Amino acid sequence: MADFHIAALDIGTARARAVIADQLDDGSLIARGIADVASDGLEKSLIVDFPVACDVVRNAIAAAEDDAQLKISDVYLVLSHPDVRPAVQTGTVHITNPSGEVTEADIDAAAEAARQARLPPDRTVIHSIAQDFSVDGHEGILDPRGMSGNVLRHRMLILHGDTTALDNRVRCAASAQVNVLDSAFGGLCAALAALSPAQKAAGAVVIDLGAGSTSFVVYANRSLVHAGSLGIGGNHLTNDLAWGLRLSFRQAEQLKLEYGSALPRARDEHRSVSLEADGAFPARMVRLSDAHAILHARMDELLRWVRSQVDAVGALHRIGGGLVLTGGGARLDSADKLAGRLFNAPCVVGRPAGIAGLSGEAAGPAFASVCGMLRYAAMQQPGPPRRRGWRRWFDRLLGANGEPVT
Amino acid sequence: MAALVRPLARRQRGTGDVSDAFQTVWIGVGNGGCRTLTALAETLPDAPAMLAVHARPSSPPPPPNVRELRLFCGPGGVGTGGDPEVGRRAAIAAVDDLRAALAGRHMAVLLAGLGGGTASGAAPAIAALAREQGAFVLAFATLPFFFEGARRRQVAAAALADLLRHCDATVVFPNERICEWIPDGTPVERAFLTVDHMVGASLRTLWKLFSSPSLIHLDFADLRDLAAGSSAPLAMASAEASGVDRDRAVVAELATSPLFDHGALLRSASGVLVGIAGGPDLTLAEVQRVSAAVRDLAPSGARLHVGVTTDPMAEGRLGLTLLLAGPATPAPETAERPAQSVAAPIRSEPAPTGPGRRPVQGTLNLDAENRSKRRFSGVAPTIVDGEDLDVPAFVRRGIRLSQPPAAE
Repeated sequence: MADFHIAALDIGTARARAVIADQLDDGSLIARGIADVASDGLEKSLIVDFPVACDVVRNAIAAAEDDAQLKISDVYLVLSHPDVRPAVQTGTVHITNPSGEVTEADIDAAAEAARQARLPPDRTVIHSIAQDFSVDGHEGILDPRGMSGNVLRHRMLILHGDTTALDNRVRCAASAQVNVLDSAFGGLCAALAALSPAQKAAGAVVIDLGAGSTSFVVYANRSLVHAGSLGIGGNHLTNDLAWGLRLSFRQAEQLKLEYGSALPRARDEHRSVSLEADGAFPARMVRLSDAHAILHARMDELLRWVRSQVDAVGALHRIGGGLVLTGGGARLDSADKLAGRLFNAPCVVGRPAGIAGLSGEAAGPAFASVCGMLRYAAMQQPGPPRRRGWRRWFDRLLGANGEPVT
Repeated sequence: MAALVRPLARRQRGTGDVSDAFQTVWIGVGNGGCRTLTALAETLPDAPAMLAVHARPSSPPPPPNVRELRLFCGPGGVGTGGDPEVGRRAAIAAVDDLRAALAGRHMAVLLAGLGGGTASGAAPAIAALAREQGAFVLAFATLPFFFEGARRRQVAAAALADLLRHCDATVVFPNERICEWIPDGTPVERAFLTVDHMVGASLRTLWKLFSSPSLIHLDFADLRDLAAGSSAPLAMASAEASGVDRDRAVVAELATSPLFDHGALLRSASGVLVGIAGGPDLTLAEVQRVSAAVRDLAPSGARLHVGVTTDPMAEGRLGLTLLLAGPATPAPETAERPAQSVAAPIRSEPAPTGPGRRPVQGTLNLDAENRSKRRFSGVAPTIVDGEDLDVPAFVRRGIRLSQPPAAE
């Protein structure tokens, strides 16, 4: 039955995660092997020690293979990158059909023209995502096929990242003797896993809080309208605690995970907790009000940055589908509450949906992007014939017309 | 009586603290100060404890939530007769009552119209007493109108010098400058009312920024930091506007405000506290534009502290309050007039803090900032709008911890 299996890999700054899933004939996915290993050699989602990072990838893939009891030869790679930026480009074509009717060919040509991104040589297109069309100046057209006119304009959202960093990430994954079939932006993957179609239609923001970087995507009218990332993540929360309270990184990490909160808690105002000694750092009593003030300052700043990005495209008041937090950072107590307040929108912690057989950590927000990658892959892979029918539609939606990343 | 017995140690206010943990007392000193206090008592949200200190009962009696303390200046209920020395002695005579009112307070806000005997003599004495009790002392003082005469101006100038030495931060409103707003032919009474109104409005805005749950919180430590940058008093002005371009309108108004010497003070400020108050419709873009505009007007080295607060009642309006510290003084003057000081006798020991006298706790130098980045110091910094986000957010926001990072 399960002839197809798909593997997805996410090389994070704190953890590397891999999931191997069986794809059934009806297209559904069942997780078969799950790996969640400690990562190293990365800082702020950038590879700083290539051989070490390659070891991490080998460990993750080997662990997933052990768990799944099979060997994989191909993998889909999540692109976590600290500096993904959006650019809106417009492609213009003259409608060639003598009847003046817009055809599929015109749309493709306009899309191709829009994709000719004028980017600096050190930037690479990660995704190009169709936005809307205009025909002879009439804007906001979602599908111009069959309309008539002279000039067709197609707006596309281009997501781009640093060429070298993205290239190295793919090389790092490939070093574990696997083919990297395709890759996708981490924020987009998280949205694929954690966002319902209804939310996409109503407008929603997904914020993927990684250890090294934070990614976000914004949906409006069912399509992705804005996205980006910043090299600030959970490790900054830990570093702030370590610096502010004179703790080792390990003590600070423990403090964050066990007692952390993104909002001050009245019941903890006068509470102190003890942390065990760690090497040169002695055992310590730490006031939780201090810890929460430090965490609040960082989360507040980070979420405000995302909010300013969302506001910049005028989408702040169009997120009826609410806010979804994913990534390891979403587990911080009250992070959802703080985000909900800042965006004045309902906020939930997103968990990967649409993949059976996940449990424990793997069913939590930290696995959203790697699971979303599987769903992306399931739609991409030449598999069961039924998929071909809407592949084209999906491609247009995502703009993933076989855009190679490297 | 101040019924709360609290440790006298200076307390820092964190971001998330509930305001009732922070005890404040507002003290109006003298006729003008009490008038301002009375006006504030009716309009200040969740008003703190208030005390009116005067030598003669003021014409409108203060509302019931303001306690009164009448200073005894001589038999028959006479006033100070404009002599600050009489005012100072009267305050010292009432030292027990004043101590009781100040006990356990983390902050004392003094309102005084300098120039008269009570305010000029008693206000510095009360400030010194409050500091001795461990409170953060903030004074708002008006200086006399020109027509009030040379003697009152001299008395006011001496009193201001005293206040500066005894307060953590002193904000000055020169009535003469406010005058420029008042059209010719305005009756004297109206002119005084206008001043009271303006001072009151500024105080309300400031109080809201510091006490109410704000989006971007301002700390009293920000105020102290601001005051420490210069030995001159702070200048303050507010503006409000509504409609399109309201953000530009408020900045434009303050950029040329007479209270800021038509903008000269802003252009030479060593620090600016920017308080932005709006309704639920306040947008981030407006906040950004306002703070960017102020940043552009101030010298490039000036420290900026930005606070934002919203009030559902202020729908459609945008208020901007600027508090300026004067040009930085490289070698701040020390107390060179101890013999003359009206408040000296009841000072027990030199206060550890004061304007222009010490480096400010929590202001980290560049080296410390680099160390604070710790594990990120090896990789390219994450810079947004010129700010290095790898430096801990709480450090950049000036949040004080109960256990400061510098000490071990």
